[in-house]
Amino acid sequence: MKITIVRRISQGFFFLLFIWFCIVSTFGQSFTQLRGWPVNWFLQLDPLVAIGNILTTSTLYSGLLWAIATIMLTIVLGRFFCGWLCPFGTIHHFVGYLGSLARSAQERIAAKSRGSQSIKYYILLVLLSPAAGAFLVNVADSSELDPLSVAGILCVLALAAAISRKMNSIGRPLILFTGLVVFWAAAGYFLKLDGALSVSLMTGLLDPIPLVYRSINFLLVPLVDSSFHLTSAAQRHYEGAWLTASIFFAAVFLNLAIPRFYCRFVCPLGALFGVLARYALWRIGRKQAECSQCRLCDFRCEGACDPAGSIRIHECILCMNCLHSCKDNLMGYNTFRSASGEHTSPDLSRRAFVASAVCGIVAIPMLRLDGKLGPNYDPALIRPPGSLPETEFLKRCIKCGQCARLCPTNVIQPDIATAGIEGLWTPVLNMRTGSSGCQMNCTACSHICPTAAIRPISIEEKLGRGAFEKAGPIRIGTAFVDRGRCLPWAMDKPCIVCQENCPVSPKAVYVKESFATIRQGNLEIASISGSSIVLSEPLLQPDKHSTGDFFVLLESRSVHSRIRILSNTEKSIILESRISPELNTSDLRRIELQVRLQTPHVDPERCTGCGICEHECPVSGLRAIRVSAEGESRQKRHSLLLRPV
Amino acid sequence: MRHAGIAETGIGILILALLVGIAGLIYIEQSRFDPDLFTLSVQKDGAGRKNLLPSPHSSPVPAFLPEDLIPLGPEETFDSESLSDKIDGKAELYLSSGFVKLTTRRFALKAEPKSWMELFIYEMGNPTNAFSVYSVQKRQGSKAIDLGVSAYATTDAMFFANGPKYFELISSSKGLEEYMSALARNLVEAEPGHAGKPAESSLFPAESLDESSISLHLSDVFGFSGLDRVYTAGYYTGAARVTAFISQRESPEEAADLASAYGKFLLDNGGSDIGEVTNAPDSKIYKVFNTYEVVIHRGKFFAGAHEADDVESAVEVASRIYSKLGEAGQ
Amino acid sequence: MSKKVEYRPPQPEMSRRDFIVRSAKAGIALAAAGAVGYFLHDPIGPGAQAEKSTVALPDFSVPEASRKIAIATGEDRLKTVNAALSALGGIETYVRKGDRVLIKVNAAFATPPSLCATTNPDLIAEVARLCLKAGASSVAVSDNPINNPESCFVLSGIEEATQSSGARLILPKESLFTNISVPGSNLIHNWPVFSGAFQDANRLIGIAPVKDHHRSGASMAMKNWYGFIGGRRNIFHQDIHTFIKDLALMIKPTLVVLDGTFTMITNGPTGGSVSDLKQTNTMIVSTDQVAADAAGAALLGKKPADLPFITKAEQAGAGTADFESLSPLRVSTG
Repeated sequence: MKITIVRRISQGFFFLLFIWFCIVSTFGQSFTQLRGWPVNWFLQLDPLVAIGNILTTSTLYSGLLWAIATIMLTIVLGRFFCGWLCPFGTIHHFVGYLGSLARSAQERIAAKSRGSQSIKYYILLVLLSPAAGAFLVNVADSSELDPLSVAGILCVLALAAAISRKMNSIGRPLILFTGLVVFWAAAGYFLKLDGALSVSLMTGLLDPIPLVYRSINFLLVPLVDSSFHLTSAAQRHYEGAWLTASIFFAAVFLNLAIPRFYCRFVCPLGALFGVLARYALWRIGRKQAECSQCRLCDFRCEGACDPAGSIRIHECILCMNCLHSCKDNLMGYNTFRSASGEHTSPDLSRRAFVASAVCGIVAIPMLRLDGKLGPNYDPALIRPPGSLPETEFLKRCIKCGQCARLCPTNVIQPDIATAGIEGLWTPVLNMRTGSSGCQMNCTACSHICPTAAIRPISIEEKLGRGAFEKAGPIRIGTAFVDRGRCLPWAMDKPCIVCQENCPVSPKAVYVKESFATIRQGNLEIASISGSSIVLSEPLLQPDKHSTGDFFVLLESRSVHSRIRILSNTEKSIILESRISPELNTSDLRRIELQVRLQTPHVDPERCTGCGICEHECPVSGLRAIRVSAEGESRQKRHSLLLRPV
Repeated sequence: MRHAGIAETGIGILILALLVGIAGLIYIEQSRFDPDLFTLSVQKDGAGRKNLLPSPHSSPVPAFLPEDLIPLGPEETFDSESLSDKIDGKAELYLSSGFVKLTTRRFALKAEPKSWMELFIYEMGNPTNAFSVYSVQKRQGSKAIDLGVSAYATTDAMFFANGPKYFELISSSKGLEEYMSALARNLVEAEPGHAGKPAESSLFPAESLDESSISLHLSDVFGFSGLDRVYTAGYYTGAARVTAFISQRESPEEAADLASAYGKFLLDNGGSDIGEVTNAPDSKIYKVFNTYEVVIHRGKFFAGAHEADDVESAVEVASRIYSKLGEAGQ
Repeated sequence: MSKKVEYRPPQPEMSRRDFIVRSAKAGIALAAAGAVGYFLHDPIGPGAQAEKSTVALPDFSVPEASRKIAIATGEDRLKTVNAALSALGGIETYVRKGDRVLIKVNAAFATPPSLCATTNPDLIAEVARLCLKAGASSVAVSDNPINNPESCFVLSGIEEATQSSGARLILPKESLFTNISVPGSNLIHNWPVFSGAFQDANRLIGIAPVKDHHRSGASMAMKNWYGFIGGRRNIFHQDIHTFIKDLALMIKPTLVVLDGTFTMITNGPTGGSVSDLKQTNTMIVSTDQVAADAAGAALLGKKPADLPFITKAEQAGAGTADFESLSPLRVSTG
């Protein structure tokens, strides 16, 4: 059995497994729902996620330990992940294959190894340096530098120096990069440049695993499921589909021009693997120096690593195609290096290297000059319950979209516009979408987040019960009644939908009764008797006032009486009870036709910001009661009230 | 094209085996999850109620749960105040029978959570009360099941009383009998020592007795407020079915008083005195509309036949009871 | 830019050596990866945000000094403050040689000194000068204003007064705030406080004008400490009296100087016109901030009982409201 067949089976296996995980990421216990399916496994295997997590938080969270296994296997075997496991890579491989079917042999060879494949290393640098710069600050983050931290930093420097001597192309840039980072960290430490060193995890933007998760979950699953309704009874919606789709389909269709376009030119994870693979014990290579130069091995080379010439180990993704293409059986997966020469490091220009690093380190502090993390925060940014405070959140969120996928009410949306580029595809709640705001007893998103950007919470903590009674419930915002749009407030129309649906007990939305004379409700009467009133003009719509919400206000000198209307015709009104005899005097000429209104008010001490009221509000465009981020528990600065202990 | 060598094939097979292993581990992993994380039912916590939504940690998997079942949600408890929230009008029966506490929980099949059942455990204070609520609610068309205690099953449910507790196990779908029996057995075994029949049941003459029909009515029996703690049992005499009753009173005087009080009640309500049972002194036969009531007393016991269609069968059963009561002593 | 090709012919010994070297490097890399995974692994994740709080702020009161209060009357601030201080035993009783003094002023608004919404700059300069004369090694002046700090200190005249007297001004920078909790307080829990102002100070003198205040009824010595609070502190206005009591628990000053020369009796705390002021010609200096406020209430035409925060502070043990019981030393400067 050829190894390429095994490789294809492996790709197919992991791809189908990945699709299965996307399908079953529905909240529930049946076999085709979440249960115990390890749907985050691909994210946990991804070393870029793990390294990002380590750099920004100095810890490796829970399941991300799997990435260590991937790293170890890569160190020993090479870039097996890219060729055998990565579901995004499988898509590119397949589409690239389709594209190449129409090509001649000449064209295929022409689409071969390019120096510009180094771009992905710069992309990796740009995305990872915001995390890296602050890592050193974290290490030295105390009033005195303790010996351990100093030792740590010196080790890093020594390592960099040692490596630089061995590495030709990467040596000097690496020293420079390390020097830059150290300088920046020192400056930040001694000069207290609080604003100058901001940590953010940006790898999620182009890291293929989160990218493919969100593309499949936000595009293909809801699209296909609209016919089958397997994952959701109602059609699910995800914002920003245009952006997610553009990126995904651009990546996919570019394979028709150059196979595995994304893998070769863009993928930062591939770049990371390329750097890790330099000491691989087994590598693809030629067994002898001379060969017929037929270039058949180049035909199907997926990594564009130039096996016919000096093979680029950092580009080789172990597709094994060259092993079987060579008619003379000269290619192998060997413990010795390729006889026709080998590159182990990518070709990086010093200038570009430094530029990327600086770009990355400086970009985030510059982006944050807009003050959105301080007093200029966007009140529309409502994050799921359990989310960490914003700066911590942005250190952990890899934009995988699992929380949005899992949310049973489809209220979590990938953010496109609210939180800037740092917040692209991070979870934001849009109460108008989905079935009902944030369900009170649900903590699903907090348990699915692979990096604890939304930290796992118990129902008790969310509701403020038991051990958490003193702390109170987790609030994600507060509802505010828009009195200019609310039906009872602005339009004299009875409505208490928000109060009815408020799920907390006692309710956070409470109503106060008031009576308002309706439009043209000051009516002249012809006669009164018993429980009926006859108007002097037929001004009313028959039965319009029979709903039980309408009252007649009778006032004369000292008596003031309000009686509910039972029914009405054009000219007469039947009341619920008899009119008090004191009023049956002839000096009563006019009555007020009133509507009973219950106007909603929000009690900020009870409101958790769940948004069910906003969702149910019948003013369906810009809702008359809307949740905004004031009062969210995760950010003390945003609190609305004193909460004395 | 070169052919794959032995080594290559071998490695290939190893890798495929690894993939199969991964698939297997994932399959095992999918069944291991905490069901409490998946309940979404919103419990409206009314003001002043007890906490109906206990924390996930306080509802561990109960010991009596057989392997194939998993809990589907947390345990809920109800007291006299909140009982009607769960069972609505039926609460009255329990509340007048010494109800203490109700605990409910749902369980589901591990392999197929869409098949679930609900367990109700009513704590009634003492075995008599438990037996009473068990017996008076017995459904028609049920079949007895062997649990060592009073128990019967219908097509989709099981009911049994064990000591001071009354259990109901109601399933959502067919095909769960096996699991329900296992669960019921575990529950009974968890609190042993209550097997056996209730006290007065041995006083009913055995011949033609439908044992499974023995019931205990605790209050307002037969519509008469003076009657409480009455055992009833069904007899098949010929084609007719006669309901006999026996109640043990404090003293012979009380039994006699009760007999005449009940007689007066029947007369006041349209009955007429039509005679007596020959071998039972101070007994009465009443015709109330088109049924017959036989009222006897002997010693501490008040007994008879209730709403019988055929007077002869009723008298026959009553006199047999009378004789048996004599054997029992005072 | 083609790089040098590493050319290795597959000679057995060479390739074997190379393999061994590579294996060694791979081994080190594996070990490093394993170590990182092992040491940094965090199975639990971040908990509910931990509250980082330090202990309460230091006690600046002079231990030997007993509870005293001096009330000096007169038109000239400099004379009255000197008279009051002498009555209490002189500044040297409270500021010794080598002490580092922090003067907490009210620079809340960018208003001119004539409106008396902020502490009078001449008074500040005089107290600073007295401290330095008594031998203090450094005197600092500080506040966390409501309006923009730079304009507040400048327009109120406080910056110039500070510099001319030889003291230094500490501006509120974000890095000088740390979260603290005050034991025994209701509301100050894990809240940012301007602790950097206290950088190695061991004496604290509060100087505040007597003002009417819409929410709390009065703004005097205890409320002066509001200027140490950071964050979105207006929230505390919802429970202002409890909060002022908490402030009195938070700060134990060496001395408080309550300037009642011109009392703002209406439209406090910002005032806005000299017609809001009444010339009451009184200067109160005390080691007991509650007593000082109780004495100052009269200048506003109020009784201590009219100001709930005084009662609360006394009950919490921050001082005594019955200032008469401290045998106030009354002096007149004519």
